[in-house]
Amino acid sequence: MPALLLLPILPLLAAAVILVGSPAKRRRRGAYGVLALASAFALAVAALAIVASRGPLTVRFYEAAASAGLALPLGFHVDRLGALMMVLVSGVAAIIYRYSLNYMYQDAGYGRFLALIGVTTSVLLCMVASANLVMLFVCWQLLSYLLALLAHNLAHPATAAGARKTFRFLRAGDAAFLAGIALAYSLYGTIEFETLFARVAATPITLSPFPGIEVSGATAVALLVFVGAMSKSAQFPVHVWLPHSLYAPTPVHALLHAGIINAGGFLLNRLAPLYAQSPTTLHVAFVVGLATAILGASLMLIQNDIKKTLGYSTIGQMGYMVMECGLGAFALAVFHLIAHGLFKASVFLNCGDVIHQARREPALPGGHGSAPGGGEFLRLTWATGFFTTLLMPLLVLLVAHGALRIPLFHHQGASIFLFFIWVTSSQAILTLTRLRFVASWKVSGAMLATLVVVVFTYLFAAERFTEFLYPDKDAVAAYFAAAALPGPIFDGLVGMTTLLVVLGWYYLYAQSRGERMPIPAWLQAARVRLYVLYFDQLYLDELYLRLGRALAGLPARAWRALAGGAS
Amino acid sequence: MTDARTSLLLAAVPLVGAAIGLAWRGDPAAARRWLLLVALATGGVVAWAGTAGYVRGSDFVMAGLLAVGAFAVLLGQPARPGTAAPLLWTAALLAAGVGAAAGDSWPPAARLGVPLGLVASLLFAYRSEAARDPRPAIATAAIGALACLVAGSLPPPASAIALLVAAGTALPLFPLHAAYLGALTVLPGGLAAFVALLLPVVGFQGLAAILPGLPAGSASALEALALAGMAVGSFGALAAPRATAVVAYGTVAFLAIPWWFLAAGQLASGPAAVFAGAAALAASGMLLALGIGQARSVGGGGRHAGGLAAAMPRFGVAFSLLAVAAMGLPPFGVFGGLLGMLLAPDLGWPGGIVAILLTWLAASWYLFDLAQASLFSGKAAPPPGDARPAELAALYIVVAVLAILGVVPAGRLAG
Repeated sequence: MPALLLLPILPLLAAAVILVGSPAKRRRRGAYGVLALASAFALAVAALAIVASRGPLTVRFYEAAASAGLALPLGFHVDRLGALMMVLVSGVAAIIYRYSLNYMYQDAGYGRFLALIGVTTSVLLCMVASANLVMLFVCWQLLSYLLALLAHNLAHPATAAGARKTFRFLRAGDAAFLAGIALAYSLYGTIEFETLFARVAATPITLSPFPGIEVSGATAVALLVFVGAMSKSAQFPVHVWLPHSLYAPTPVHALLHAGIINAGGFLLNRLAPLYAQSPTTLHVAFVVGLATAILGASLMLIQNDIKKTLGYSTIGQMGYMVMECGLGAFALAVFHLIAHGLFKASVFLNCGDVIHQARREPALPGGHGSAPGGGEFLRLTWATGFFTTLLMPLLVLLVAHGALRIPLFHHQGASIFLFFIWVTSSQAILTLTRLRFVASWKVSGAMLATLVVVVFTYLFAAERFTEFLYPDKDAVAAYFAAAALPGPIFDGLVGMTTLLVVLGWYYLYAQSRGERMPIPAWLQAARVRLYVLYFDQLYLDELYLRLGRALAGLPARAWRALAGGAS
Repeated sequence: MTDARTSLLLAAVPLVGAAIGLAWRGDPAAARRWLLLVALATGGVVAWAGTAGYVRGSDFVMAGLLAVGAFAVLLGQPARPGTAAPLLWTAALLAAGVGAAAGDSWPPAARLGVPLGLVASLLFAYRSEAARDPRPAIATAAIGALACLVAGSLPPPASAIALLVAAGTALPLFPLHAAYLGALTVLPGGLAAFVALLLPVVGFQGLAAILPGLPAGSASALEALALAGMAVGSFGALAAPRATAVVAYGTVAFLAIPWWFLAAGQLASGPAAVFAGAAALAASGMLLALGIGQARSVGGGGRHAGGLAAAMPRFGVAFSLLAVAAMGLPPFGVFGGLLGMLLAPDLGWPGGIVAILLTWLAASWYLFDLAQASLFSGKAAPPPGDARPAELAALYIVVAVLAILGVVPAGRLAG
């Protein structure tokens, strides 16, 4: 147990070794910092093994009954979710710290930057291991500030403006989160997770914030906390801070996209039993996540800057993750955030190198050579894709539903997993059809391999991983039940997405044969307008700017009226 | 509860120290050294009285804060020619403040009247140095002091209302906040920094004494004034063109929060005391830091004068920490007190909490801007060097006390 307490201390040591001592020897001392973070990672892995075999570890430095009287009720509760996040955070942080030792070398703020990486890692570890809502919130807020500081070169006006925007949007979310905590304490009298969940389940409370409008206590609390999660995980419409934070050094993005931005998904998972009591909030999460996923993916497609492309991709992925929570698939969301975090951290750490290579090598980026097939219609590629994406899933469904009598259509949870498998593999396979410079049989092989990987990954996420994170099967069923969408809406969404995938194949087929899709003129015009709209980020930045200016002007006018003049 | 002899002793140490310090009024450096010893001695007496049980609860916290605040302000002030008077006044105000904070055996009129009278006199004395019209500030402080004078001759509840006016002047409550604003923007650097702490402390302590005697029905009026104070303070801070005014208005907004909390029937509890003390101390530290930065900055005084982080990195770290504490981030006392108030039992979920959260959120807006502009905007010429060790020590003392207020349970500190 005492070793558990070392986990957040070790990254602080990594910060201290950089700050204390001669600046000339910082890089050499950094090796000890790497060692400290690597030790934290090893400890996190050990904690995960212990937690998996013996159950949660809890250390509280306060009396649970008197926790609300404390400004900082220090305590750690490491369950499987917390331990898993600790492994992710400490592992990624150790790599980023090591990477930054060289990457940031000779930068004016070298020491400060590395120290901040250490402190941020420590705060992240404390957050995922928090024993109560207040400690989680304390760490949550510190992350908001640290993220603004990690922008690093604040003397650069655009970086400073980005840091300001980041801090403001995150603080707005923090205020909503704090309101949620105050309301939760006011209604249920506790800040302890387990006690709160038990009281929410046992004591239905109805609030009437406005005449004629009634809302359950659980929904009010869950919605307020969800706003906090939205801001940290860059959900629409408060996602605008993320693209503006991209002036920060590359290692910060790796940490941001692999760790900090996942805080929203972690929070939703940590409070899953609370969300299970509030179907309304889950539906709101689904809608927000869906909108963010569509927006992020669409905006990503029209960026001409590699960092912004990756930033919008992350927004889309975060939307996907929140959407999964909104559908009750909490474990799937955690699986997603880990996979995405690892992927995006490696991509960010590599993107600086790619840019550097592209600047040095005139032939890069490639893609101007001739294809083995001459860019012609590749029958084998198309047939494999069509079979794996459309025919095989249909066969599997028919066999499962008809021959094996598995009642797929009565359980949205099972349908959701199957549907995600299908959409993910379709997306990957559709992308593979763009490989025109590789032999057709190789592309077909890659498609089949992709399908196998996606199916097995999702099966693992659906079965083993869900069982690992949420061993209580009844709880998992309750989450899906709470998140269940009304039948017609669910069917409509499934139908619409199916149609989009089929149309995607039709479009590809037509394009491959050199034919044009018969698109109505109004749709073509709308496409152009949409492109312009997305190119300007839906004018959301301008909207917030105008709103900000109006708000900034309002105090001046009101202040003059109330106080009689400016000082 | 503090007996009369202990509070007399507490007030006597700095008062006698200030009187002896007059001997060095021509030598500010020597006067500063002596007064630092006086502040240390006052702190020692407060600690002794607290350990021995003569001063307890919020009396102990507030008296201790004043002693530490005075020490930090004296330490952080440069001893240039002509600065002996502000130094000596700081010690005299410490005497009035410590006596008032720990003197609950004294009548509330005396506890509030003496500090307010002294501040009114100082505002009058320094009126010619004011960048803005000092008359509203002088008038409001004088009204507060006069209200204390007449309170003794009035029958209840009129006497309680007169004292409420005095408390509203000290712990700034709209529309009586002009005295506090004036004190922070008119008085010279170190003196303003100490008054920023002194007035809210004596106001809070005075308020705690007069709350039980207030007429029924005054609570809703106080709640409305507190909400107006939060709005005026936040709007003022967002619109203020000068750094000191940003801090002054921001503190007015924050100090309206304990008014609302007390008016909502929560009495003078530990979290409210911690919040009021921490917000006032954070303001004091910010003013002290701004004074240190502006003394070296060509564009001193302007909201966007800055670029200090590159040339004054150590000062930059201390200033950042103070700004973090002042805007209500953990692990400092402002956040601890706020959280304690929000989690108070039976507070309910009134709209006032939304206003409190908006006030808290607004601070992240204007104080973050202020800190960023002061530290990173490159408009000012680079200062000659980093802050002196004594100045840094003063700032870190304030930061450390704010951290202690944030971590130690409010109930144990001021219960």
